[in-house]
Amino acid sequence: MSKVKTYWKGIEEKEQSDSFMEKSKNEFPEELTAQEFLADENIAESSTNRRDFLKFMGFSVAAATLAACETPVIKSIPYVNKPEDITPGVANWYSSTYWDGNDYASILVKTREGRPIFIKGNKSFGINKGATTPRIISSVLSLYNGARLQMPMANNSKATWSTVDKEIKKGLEAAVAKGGKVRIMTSSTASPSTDAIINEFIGTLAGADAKVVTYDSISYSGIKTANNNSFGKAVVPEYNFDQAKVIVSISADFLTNWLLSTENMAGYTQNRKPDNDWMSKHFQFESVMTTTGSNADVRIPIKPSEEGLVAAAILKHLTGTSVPGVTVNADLMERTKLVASELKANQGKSLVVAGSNCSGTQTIINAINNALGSYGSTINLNNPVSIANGNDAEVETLVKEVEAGQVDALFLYGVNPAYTLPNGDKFAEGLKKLPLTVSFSQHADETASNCKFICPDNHYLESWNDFAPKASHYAVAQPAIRPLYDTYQAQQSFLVWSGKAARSGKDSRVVYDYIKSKYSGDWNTLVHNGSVDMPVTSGAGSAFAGDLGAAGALVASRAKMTGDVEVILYQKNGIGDGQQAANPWLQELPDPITKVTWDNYITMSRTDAEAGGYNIILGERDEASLAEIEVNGTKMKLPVFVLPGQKSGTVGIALGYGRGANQENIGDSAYQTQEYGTHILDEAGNKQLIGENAFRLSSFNKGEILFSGAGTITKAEGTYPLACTQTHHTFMGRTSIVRETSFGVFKAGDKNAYNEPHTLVTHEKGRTVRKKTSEFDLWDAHPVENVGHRWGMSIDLSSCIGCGSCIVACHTENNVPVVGKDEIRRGRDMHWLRLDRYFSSDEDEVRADSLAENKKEYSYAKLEVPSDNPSVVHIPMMCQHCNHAPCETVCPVAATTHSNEGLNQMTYNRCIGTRYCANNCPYKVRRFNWFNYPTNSRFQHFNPSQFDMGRMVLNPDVTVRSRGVMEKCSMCVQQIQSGKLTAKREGRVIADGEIQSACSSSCPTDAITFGDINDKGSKIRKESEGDRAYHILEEIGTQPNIYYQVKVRNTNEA
Amino acid sequence: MNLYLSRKLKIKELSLYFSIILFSLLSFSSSAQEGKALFKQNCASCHHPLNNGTGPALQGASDKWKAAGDDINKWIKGPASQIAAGVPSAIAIKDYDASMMPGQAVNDDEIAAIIEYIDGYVKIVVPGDVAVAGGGTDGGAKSSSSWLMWLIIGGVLSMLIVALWGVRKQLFYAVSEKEDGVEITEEESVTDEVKGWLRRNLKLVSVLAFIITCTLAYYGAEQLYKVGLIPENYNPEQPIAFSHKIHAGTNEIDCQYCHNSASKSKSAGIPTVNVCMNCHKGIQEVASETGTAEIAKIHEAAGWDKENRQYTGKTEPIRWVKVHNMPDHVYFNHSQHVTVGGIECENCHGDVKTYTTGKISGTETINNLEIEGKKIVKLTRPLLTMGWCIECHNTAEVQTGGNKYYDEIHERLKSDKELYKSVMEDGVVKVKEFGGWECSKCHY
Repeated sequence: MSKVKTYWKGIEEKEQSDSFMEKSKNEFPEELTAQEFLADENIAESSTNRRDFLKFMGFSVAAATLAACETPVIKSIPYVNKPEDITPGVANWYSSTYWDGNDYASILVKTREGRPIFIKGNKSFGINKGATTPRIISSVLSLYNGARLQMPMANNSKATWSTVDKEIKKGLEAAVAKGGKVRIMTSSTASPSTDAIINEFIGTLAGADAKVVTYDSISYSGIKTANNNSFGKAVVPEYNFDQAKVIVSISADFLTNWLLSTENMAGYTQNRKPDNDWMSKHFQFESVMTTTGSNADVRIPIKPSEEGLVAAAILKHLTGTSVPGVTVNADLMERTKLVASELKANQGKSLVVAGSNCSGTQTIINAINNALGSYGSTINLNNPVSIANGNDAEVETLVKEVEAGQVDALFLYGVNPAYTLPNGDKFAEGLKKLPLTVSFSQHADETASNCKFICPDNHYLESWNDFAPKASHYAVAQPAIRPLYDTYQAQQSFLVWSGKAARSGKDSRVVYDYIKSKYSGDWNTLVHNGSVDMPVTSGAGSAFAGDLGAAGALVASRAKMTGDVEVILYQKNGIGDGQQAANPWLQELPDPITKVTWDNYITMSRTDAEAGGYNIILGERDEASLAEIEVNGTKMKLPVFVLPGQKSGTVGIALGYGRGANQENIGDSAYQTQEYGTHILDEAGNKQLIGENAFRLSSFNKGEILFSGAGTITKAEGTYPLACTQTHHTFMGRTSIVRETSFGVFKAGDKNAYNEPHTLVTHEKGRTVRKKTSEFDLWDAHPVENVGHRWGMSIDLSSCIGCGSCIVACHTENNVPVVGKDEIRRGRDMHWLRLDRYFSSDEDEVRADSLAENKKEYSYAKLEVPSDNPSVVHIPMMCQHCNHAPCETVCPVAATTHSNEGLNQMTYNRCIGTRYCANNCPYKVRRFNWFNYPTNSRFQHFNPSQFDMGRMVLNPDVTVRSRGVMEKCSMCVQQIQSGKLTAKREGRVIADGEIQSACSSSCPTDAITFGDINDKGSKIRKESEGDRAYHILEEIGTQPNIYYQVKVRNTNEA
Repeated sequence: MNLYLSRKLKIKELSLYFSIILFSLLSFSSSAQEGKALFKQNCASCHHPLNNGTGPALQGASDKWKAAGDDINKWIKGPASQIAAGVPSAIAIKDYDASMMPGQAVNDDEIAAIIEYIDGYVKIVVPGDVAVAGGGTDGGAKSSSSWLMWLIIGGVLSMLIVALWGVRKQLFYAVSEKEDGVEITEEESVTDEVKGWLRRNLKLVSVLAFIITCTLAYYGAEQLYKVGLIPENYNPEQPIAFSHKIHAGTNEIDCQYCHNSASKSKSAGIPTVNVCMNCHKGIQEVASETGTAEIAKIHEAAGWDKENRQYTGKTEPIRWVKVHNMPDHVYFNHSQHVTVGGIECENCHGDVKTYTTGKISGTETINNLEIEGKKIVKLTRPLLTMGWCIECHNTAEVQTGGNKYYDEIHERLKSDKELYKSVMEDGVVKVKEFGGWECSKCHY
């Protein structure tokens, strides 16, 4: 390879900006003053003189001494009647299913003494094969959101179920008597029982014009329409990513945010393991860099208006037929040439998907897949997916009816249209005019607060439910806790209003009985496994009969939507469509690509940012420029983030932010806080929102909701601080971090070509020799090799897609505090595990050579500055548990020591907070507790351990750390200890894979392997000895117990 | 199942015990004596002469049956047949409890003796009964704090005396000046007197001062050492004056019958009320009224209506005071020590079966314990300190025998010959050699 790659975390690092250089010199970006560190803000604000201070000191010393003399009285309160299956101190696991209208997964819920505290994917059963997203893992905290409604509401004041039921029945009777319109607006329920219950309810409303309207906030309506046009089946088909050798995605972020993304992830990564015989090849056309795009072998930036054109170009290459009415320019034809030839070479083993909700584009995609013979192999029309049943045209009609006040009764289940509709404010106004409006929302959110009645639904962890995400699969959700409040499942409410059930208190079995009665198989097995596969009738293959002319017209009209700038609205892995915007774990989760927390922003290409005069360097003191964007007459002001890989001429804005625009109570963490932890208020005393609601920029276009558009962007006055972690914890200019290669080089089998062991030069007997770093030792080795256990981890960079599930899982398992935007800006984030995202680009000079050598590969990139379309590596980085740990030798009090099982132990009760260890850690993985996060008022609005209910989520096996101590990844030592103990108690050897850390158990792509390296038969042993295994910063000789596996891309170089 | 059986047995024994203390002060006729023995043997596990239990109170029952013209003897020998025969008294009593009394193997003479005993039974209140002992607030904490309190009070009083003396003197001067008009030349003040004396005996004073300082420093340091420690004999007052002595001692109920998660969980578990009710549904009193009152607290917590023999659903958890407190940053797992390590409960908790409510035992006391069939590891550091924990980890031998987990670790150890030698030198494997002194074994 003649290329020299450079790796950089952000433009700041690439450009070596002043503030970056200054910051990277210091381990701790900003020192706390003693006053800040010792006191809370009250003392800082008071005028204390020296004498008073001494008096306080004297008094507190005396008080502390006296207090310490007393033995604290701690109450211990046992159950009155202990449930049979609970043993205090031992966790129970329940299988269940997650579905919130956007994410689907079979999950396992961990409860302690009846409290759900951890969620992970169910690796044994379910279509997702254990894959989850950060949102699913974090959902356990939303159970304890203090803003949840605790009782039904009537006209926004507290009510009782009996009065609410009476009033609603009266309203329904009036509507029926009138023969009026009754509308039930739901998200895709994906639930046979729920659908049946709603239909039964509708059945009791004879005389009225009653109807269900399905509305998905992230709509896939275009796919259904296209399939109806093409095959006469209005369904979303099953996509089998595990069958595809070539995957082409046009703006579909299918790994984390598209349809059954958990299943997609599981299927996709199966064929991305370089140790297999073949590796799938993944092309991604997109505007804003998504998680999926960052994992593509070839990523080609396009504008949203070009989505349909790219599809048309590929079709032209494949079949020679042009789509009528669509003109594709030569440049696009050129850029799609290689893609088409790869597809052609893998007919029947390829898959083309598009994220667009335009039925025209989707029809062309159908034509491509049809030409490739994908139907029946990678796409199955006979196994429809029912999680995306939304019908945009019906929604548009309903919205108009509501705005005109023509609906007599409206029920809203699982939807928040006042927030998610393009013109939600008008919808909210319309709601107020209707005689009967009922919301099932758990919060008095944007929509619910405008409804006459709110009949709060249970949280999903309190509910029975069933799901059929696709025809071939049936799953149940079982509750893991009794309802916390006086709430009822929506299903039960419908049954009550149908006259088929009564309100029966918290131990209600109404919905349970209903679901159970409909299931004919063995119920207990179903509940134990959580899901079961169902037989599907393999229908005949349908012939493609799509009207390319109509599709072409739609695509052509869409292609004309080009303004000053094109806007694409996308979902972030954390916030998604905004349902959990008040979940501090998700807000604090750095975005996989931008690494920004607690905000949304406008992503812009560097070329455009320079041309528009925006700040391209971000840092603690370098704030982001503000820009005002206008699309379809809607304006909003947001900070600008320069994102490598963004297509020039386009900007991206994440959905799901700007919740609670009218100060609705959806949770404290949904609003911005400032330095001392109070909410930022405007002049009217309103709390400032986090970001802006980008749903307002979407639009209805010919009965389809478009999540992109064209508009104008102008630089606005002022700057805005963004809390971005991308340049935190840098490696001090050390570069031996990433190792990557191509599939061809890897398969050639010469390890030295892609994973050369690091050697150092030394002199022996007057001659220069090169020796492996492991041969240089300053200290005696720890006797961990082959003796006892040696816990280690192997992280496969080929499999890691950077989704962020591990970060959230680590947060949950280890009681990691949430520190908020202000602290993150200061570089004081507490994540034990971070995902380093490195962009890489080739040096310009070298690029010319490589272009000559590998023309094929770089034919797309010709027109671009290399850093404009960089390739990306995601590296999970946590304590490396070095056998020669630099941190251990500098601790003056031996608070961090090595165990004989290879763990680098951190002992909080011994730590005195000198922070020498963090200074000496080459991997920058140690975190310092600058504050007493569980009590300091700075963190009152977002640290879960400060919420009355929120602290229920804490893991009782892990200490909640106090101020002034270091903490870091412990490799989930609590799990190791408990796993060992179980084996000892049962008198057996520990099975490989039995003990899992939080990150490894939650990794959707099995990128993280955890285990005992001394166990000769273990997977981790095999991986640690494999050809791809290497250590990060091997040259410094720390001998970590964490191995990384060289990233292999399926690029064409050999 | 085993537990269940042993529980049944225990109920019998418990009742037996109660009977002993109840009746030991009474004198009976020989027939009544015989009746008492028979009652204990056959009836006492469910019945009491005066109180309803699993079975109804028996005093007067025989007369009632006789008045109704029915034969109680037949009922005792075979209740089922009496119900089947539709005997009115049998029908009247059959719904008393869900479980039916089995027929008893007693003859008519024996029944007569039992009835004589029952009808002659008089409730006697025994003053100062063992069952009410405990719930004390005595202990080391009190004695050390009272010592401190006396010192403070003493200091304050002596200061008061000195001050009053000064005031008196001033007043005396003022009065004599006013009344007599005589100007008194001011005498030396007390302070000056003392100072003078001190100056004159400099050697003695310095020696005394040295001794006093050293003594104070020594005792001060000793006191400071104890700051934060849970004092020996710490025995806080509990909501129920529970007696381990009666339960674990006299009745030999196994520790793990009540603390049943000790073998499988990190927490040994404070018995839940339903466990208490396994026995106390039937056993409603000890030997005194106070004992009855304590048991009534369990019934209240469980929501047990004694009269109607049913649960009311109104439950109230019992708020026990934790005795063996660990700081939050310590992870301790009972099952590791009890199940895997085979450590005796007494090794950390002392001879609990001699206590009333839970209390902290002293290391010395535990070292002196001699319990048949139980091996006590002798330690020196104060109980529940880290020194005490790791001392044991350096002394106690790991019970590796027959455990495949340890066999595997043993195999692996052989790969490092030197280490193997150093570990196996003394023929035993200590916890420390397994990493029992490493921080992350207990702190995470």
